Amino acid sequence: MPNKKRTAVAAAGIILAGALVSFAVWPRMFEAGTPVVNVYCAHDAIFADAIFDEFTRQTGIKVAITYDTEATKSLSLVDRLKREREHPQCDVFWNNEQVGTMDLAGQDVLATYKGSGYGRIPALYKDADGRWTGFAARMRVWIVNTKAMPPDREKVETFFKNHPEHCAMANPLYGTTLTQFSILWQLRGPEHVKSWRADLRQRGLREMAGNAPVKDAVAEGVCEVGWTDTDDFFEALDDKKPVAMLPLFVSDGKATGAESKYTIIVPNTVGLIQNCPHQSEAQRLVDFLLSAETELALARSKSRQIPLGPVDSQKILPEVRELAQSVPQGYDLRKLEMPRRECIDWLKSESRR
Amino acid sequence: MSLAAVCAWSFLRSAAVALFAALLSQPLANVLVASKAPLATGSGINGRERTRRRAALLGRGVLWGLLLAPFLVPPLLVGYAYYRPALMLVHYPRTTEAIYWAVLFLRFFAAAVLIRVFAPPSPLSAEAIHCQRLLRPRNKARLRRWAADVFTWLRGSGQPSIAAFAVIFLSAFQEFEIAALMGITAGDVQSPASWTVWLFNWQAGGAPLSESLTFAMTPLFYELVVIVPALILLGSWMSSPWRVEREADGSVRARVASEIFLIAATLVIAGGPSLIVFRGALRGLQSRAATGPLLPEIGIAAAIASTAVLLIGILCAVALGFAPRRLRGAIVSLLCLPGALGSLVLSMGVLWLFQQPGLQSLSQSLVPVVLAVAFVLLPRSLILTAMLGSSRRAQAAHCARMLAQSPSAPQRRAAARLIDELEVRRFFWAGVLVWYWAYWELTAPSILAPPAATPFVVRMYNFMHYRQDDPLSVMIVASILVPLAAVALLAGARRFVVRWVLQ
Repeated sequence: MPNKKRTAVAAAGIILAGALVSFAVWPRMFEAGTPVVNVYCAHDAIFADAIFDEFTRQTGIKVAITYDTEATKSLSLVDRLKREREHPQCDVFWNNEQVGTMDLAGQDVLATYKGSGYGRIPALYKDADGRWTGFAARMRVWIVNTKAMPPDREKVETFFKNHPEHCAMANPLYGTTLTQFSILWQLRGPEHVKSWRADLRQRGLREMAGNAPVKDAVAEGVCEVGWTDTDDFFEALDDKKPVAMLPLFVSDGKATGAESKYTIIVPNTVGLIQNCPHQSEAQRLVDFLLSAETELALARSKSRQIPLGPVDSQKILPEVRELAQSVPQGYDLRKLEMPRRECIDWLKSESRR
Repeated sequence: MSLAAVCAWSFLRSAAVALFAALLSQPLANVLVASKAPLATGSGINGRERTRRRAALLGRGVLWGLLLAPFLVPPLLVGYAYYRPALMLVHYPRTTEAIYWAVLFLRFFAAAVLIRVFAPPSPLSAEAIHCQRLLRPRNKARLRRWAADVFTWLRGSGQPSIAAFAVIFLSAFQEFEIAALMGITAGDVQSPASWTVWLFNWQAGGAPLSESLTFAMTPLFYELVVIVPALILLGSWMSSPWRVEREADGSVRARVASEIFLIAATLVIAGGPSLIVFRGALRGLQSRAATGPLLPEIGIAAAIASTAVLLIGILCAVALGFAPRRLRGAIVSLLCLPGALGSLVLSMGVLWLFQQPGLQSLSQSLVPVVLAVAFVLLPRSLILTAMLGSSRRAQAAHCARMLAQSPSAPQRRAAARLIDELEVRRFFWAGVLVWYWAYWELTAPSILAPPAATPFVVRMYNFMHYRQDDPLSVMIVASILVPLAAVALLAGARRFVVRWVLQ
């Protein structure tokens, strides 16, 4: 009798193991036949989820998402897409910045697609060949602790110059801080950026792990001034922290006047993957992401993304409306690929010393 | 800071933490062993025993619970809790470093205690060592006498300390999640350094795998500096047939000191994070905060962990059970090597492997992530299996199996209970522990999980970055309670199945 029972337990174990192995080999076994689109998404999950849910609700197409986490930021989705170039698994890439997407376009990872949303985005924020299109942007800003000082541009800039030890910025190897450094690299030259950073570090500028810690450090009064993005700033504001912001301007330092100053507008970008497995579903998602509806939804979300295309201005919050006026003043990031690469190489070489 | 410098600093930190844990685990283990022994009952209790009982504020179960709580709290939760204190100390990097040392020590010291309690005791008794000292010629130089003492310690009573040191060193050296959330960086001028973060940063903008592997050689060298001598020394310990009785410390002072220490450690590592999470979860439930579709993601994490445990079980059985004895060392070393590279480098290697033409079709399955998780956990699992195997009471188990053949039903019932106690229960809970580690593994799934199957831990880590306290707390509580309920059910089922099969 125990032998029979043993056989029964062994059989149950084998069935369970078989089920586990089958699921491991074919994780979509329960969803066979459902239309699906694979997305690699570098935008914040807490905001992107709502957009994807709405797309699925409207079209019936399920969205399988791989998010770019803090854990993978160094091994970003951009690198994963490059590695998968010969055998693409992803259909749509939603990046939270522009230069990495341009890098992919340069390596023939992205396909040309000018769908219904392409036309409504200004030329400054899209690829002329249609390999990627920008939408719903963030802006680089000064974040100021109002208990420490008033949000006065001159005072803030002077304070940063004189007391960098009370100021914070994110590690420039990543994200929008890298974009900011790359712009300075292009505008002012490598030598200027190198000596400027060395001086700031030597005088104690705090380099944090990301923009969110910069925002937290300023919001908590640990640092008085920092650089971050508008979405992080608004998070602190919603938490009723004593913070204010000022748009960050960049210039070549030579010419004077308003026309020589640029804001740093960093759009989300979307691209269709070359030879992707679910092309028609992917095109529908790209159209959806580039629609006024999505830009409005992201502008009304807690992150207050700035719409790049025309939307009904009455439907967006006043602070976003104000930010949207800076869109034409944004620095042209389309020629930033090479400075970014050089900047990364330099920053890495610094870390090896 | 160069990788070599960062590694050297990480090595110093991990070695100091491991040394302190190995030393402190001794008295704690003695107290726990004493609490394991059944207390005498009836009128024969003497005065000292009565005092001891009164002084024991906490029961045996609570004591074990307090010991294991800091060790079992997911590292993500610890990092999440210490994010804000670390942020407030941004101008005081030395204090941040000190807090990180303390967190590492309090989190991992339980492993050292477990090793001392469950690993085989020393093959040399105190009497044997004393006799050896007496037999030593008196005219030997002091240095030679000292060397002989060290040698005796290495071959005898020091072996559990060496094992504890090696395991804690490896755990602390490879730690990443807490460091990342606490803002421990790659060694900038104003902050403490961690090689795991350094290597992470090096990937910015994409680095070829060959380059990453080259860089992984430096930390691997530091790991081998500890692992190789430990394996050489511990080999004879594990295989020695001679065992002496374990020390037990039933003194009131030791017991009270242990209880105070364990309560403090639990409060710091488990209490704080739990308070944050449960308070947030309560608020989240009250405000019906959106939690997102978490249950499927918990299911995916559970499936990945279960498959990884299955694979680990097979590999451990092959390496330690079926492989010829002379090849065992080589096989174990080979199986441990990928895990010793660290989760990041190993996952990148697996990613590269599954981009190759023959294996590419499996890249959108869970096979790569299961493989990576299994190999990340294999060194720990092999140590665990070896420890369980060497402390196995083979004769008692054999007698129990013979008793299970008895025609008498009550005897078979008793045999089933005994077999469960002696054999099944230990491996079951060891499996649960490995499953738990796999369930909370972050780096491998974040790099390798396909779009259709992202486990909850990756999503949660993403959310943690944005400090969404209340909904996140609901998610964390759900991700702890759901598998806890499943394990409780399985533990009950285990007893039932063992008795049903053997009766």
